[in-house]
Amino acid sequence: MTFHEDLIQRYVDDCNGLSEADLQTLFTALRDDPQLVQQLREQLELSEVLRQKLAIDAGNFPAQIELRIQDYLIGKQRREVQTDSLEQNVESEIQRQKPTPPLPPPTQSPPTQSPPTQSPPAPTPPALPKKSPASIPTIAVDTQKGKSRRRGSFRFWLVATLLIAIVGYYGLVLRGNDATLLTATGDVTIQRGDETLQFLPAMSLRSGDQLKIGSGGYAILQYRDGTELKLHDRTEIKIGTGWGKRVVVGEGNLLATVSPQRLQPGLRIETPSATAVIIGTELLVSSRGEETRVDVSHGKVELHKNSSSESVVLEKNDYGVVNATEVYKATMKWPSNRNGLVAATVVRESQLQLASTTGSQWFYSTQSNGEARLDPNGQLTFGGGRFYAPEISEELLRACRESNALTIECTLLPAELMQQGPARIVTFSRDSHGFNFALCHEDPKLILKLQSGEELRYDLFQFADREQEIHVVVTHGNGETSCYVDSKRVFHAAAANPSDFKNWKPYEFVLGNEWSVSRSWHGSLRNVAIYNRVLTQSEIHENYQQSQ
Amino acid sequence: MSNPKSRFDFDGILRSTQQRIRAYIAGMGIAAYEVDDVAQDVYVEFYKNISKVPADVEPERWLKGIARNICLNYIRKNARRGRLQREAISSLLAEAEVAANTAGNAGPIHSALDNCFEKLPEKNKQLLQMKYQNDLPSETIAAKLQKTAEAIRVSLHRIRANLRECIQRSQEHAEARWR
Repeated sequence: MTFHEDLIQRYVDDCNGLSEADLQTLFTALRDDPQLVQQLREQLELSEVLRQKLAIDAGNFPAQIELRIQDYLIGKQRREVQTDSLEQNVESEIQRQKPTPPLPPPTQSPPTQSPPTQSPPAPTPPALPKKSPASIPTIAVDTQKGKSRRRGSFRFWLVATLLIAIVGYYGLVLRGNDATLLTATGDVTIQRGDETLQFLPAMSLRSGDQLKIGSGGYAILQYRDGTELKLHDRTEIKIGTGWGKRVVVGEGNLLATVSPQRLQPGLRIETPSATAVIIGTELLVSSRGEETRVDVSHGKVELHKNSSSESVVLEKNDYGVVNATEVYKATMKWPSNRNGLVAATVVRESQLQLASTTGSQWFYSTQSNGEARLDPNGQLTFGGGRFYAPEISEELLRACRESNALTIECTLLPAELMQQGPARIVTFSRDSHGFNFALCHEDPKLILKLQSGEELRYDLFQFADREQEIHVVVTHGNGETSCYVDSKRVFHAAAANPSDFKNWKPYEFVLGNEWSVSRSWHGSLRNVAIYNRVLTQSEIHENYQQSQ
Repeated sequence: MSNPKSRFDFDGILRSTQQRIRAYIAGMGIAAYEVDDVAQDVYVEFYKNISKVPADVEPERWLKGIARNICLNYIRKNARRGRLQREAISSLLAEAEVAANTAGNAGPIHSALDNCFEKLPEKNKQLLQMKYQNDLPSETIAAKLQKTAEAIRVSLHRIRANLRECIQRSQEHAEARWR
């Protein structure tokens, strides 16, 4: 087989799968050999004919077209009605503004006393006053008839517009639950009744369809209005039946970005214990057994407990929890981006805890030893001691291994610019030899040590000021590492290999020192967060602003 | 759904041409999972402007003209990488359409395919089913059959080439009977 034949076969197999260089080679070969073009075209067409013959959903095409044409016709009809209605209004307004001839006094010819036979026939087209100033009485009567006809016409159009609006509205509401499964990666099962469906990109889901996302997988659902639901791994959902958009979450996490629901009753996300009604916002719904938590990034959400009438209204930065005994809400000013948040430092009941939206618990406890203090505002001060969190380590390992992506965020102020070790600021490690990642301070530099297929070490940033706190975010994913200081990118590097955390080991998550207490860092630290994804620059900027 | 302004029966045109138009779109280098979306756009565009189709032009020819433009626009807007190369390849493929003699041209292609498919050895049928019925990537098929993805692609290529020859023979035979 020649190289060109191989390219042709790969192009027929998946024309989106070829690299730019391969496409260039293929183009050159095709340009020089018309027979090759012919061969490629025949293979592509026959491939499609085979798909039409064998694929289960390929026979629905005429029905899909009928729906599209109906959509087009409804839209066209609505536009025509709007235009006609507008023309009608304009015409009425012009008529209203024209000088109306004086009506004869009621005593002269009361309409009720006029015999029907005396009524003049309606002229066609209706005479206008300016064309026939002499026939004032007739015109007066004609104008009345014209008005009456216009009123009738107006009523007709009003009723027609209302009917179309009602039909359109209920069409929207009834079809609001039609979701498209844009992507599904990893272990994703789609169940329709007793049938297990094969995932097809952009496949339509129906009411009653169930999706199960296994370990390491994810899926994205989109509604017609652009509302998007990202289903995390280990999540089970069902597309709800009935009117409007309804999703039932059995277990797991779902991130919803909801377009404003102007014409519809709002997206309802139900879990066994709670219902969130969303009008247009971004939120994270997490369901764990009998407990549901909703974190709101933007907008407003009503969170209802299913078994009672209790509810809370959540706004930006709020989270609400529904469990067997209560419904409550709390505000977490930072970080508002909680999608993929494995751990974030919070102060609860005067203790340092780690909040998590990926783990099996909402909060994980921490411990400290040596010279490591927590003040009521959440500031941690280190002078040789450490804070550590044995409970979160397992979740941190699981979450990052599955995504092969990581973000470390913290706000810090070193007590000394020159530190040795390298001193550990935030670390997931055992000792100086065994580490998954470590954000360190050596000399006046901020350093990242990371296991990602190979052992990586990057000098990220040089400390210059001992007086000024800095907000640091380090991201790593797809083999690329970036560092942002006060939301500005100060470092970027691309490794030769893609990110790979499969060699990560069950080490310990520690702040301010090494687990072995041999690499102490001196300084203060607050708002430490670990995500199992790469934060975007706008998210980093938002977190930075919230950290101030 | 029929348009009173037009002399054409839209439903009839849709049903008689849709298989070939979808094949034509695939032949322009549109990925299998995108073909139906693009084809929908083609038919909606045709429906909108059905009264403008000249009397002396066959609807299928007109549809292919629309499809060609929509495909090139689609690649321009949606190609994730190698946009220019994809567009250039598509243009070459569009030029080749006139001479193509498989699914793109009229004829009882599907019934011929049914006959030819039945004549295939069982293992070839299974391979086609895995590819087109179960929509499995070549890599997954390769893993299941303990072969390489390249070997799977080569096999599929050969099966399609054989099917094409078989279809061509059937069509020639059918034409000869009517002469």
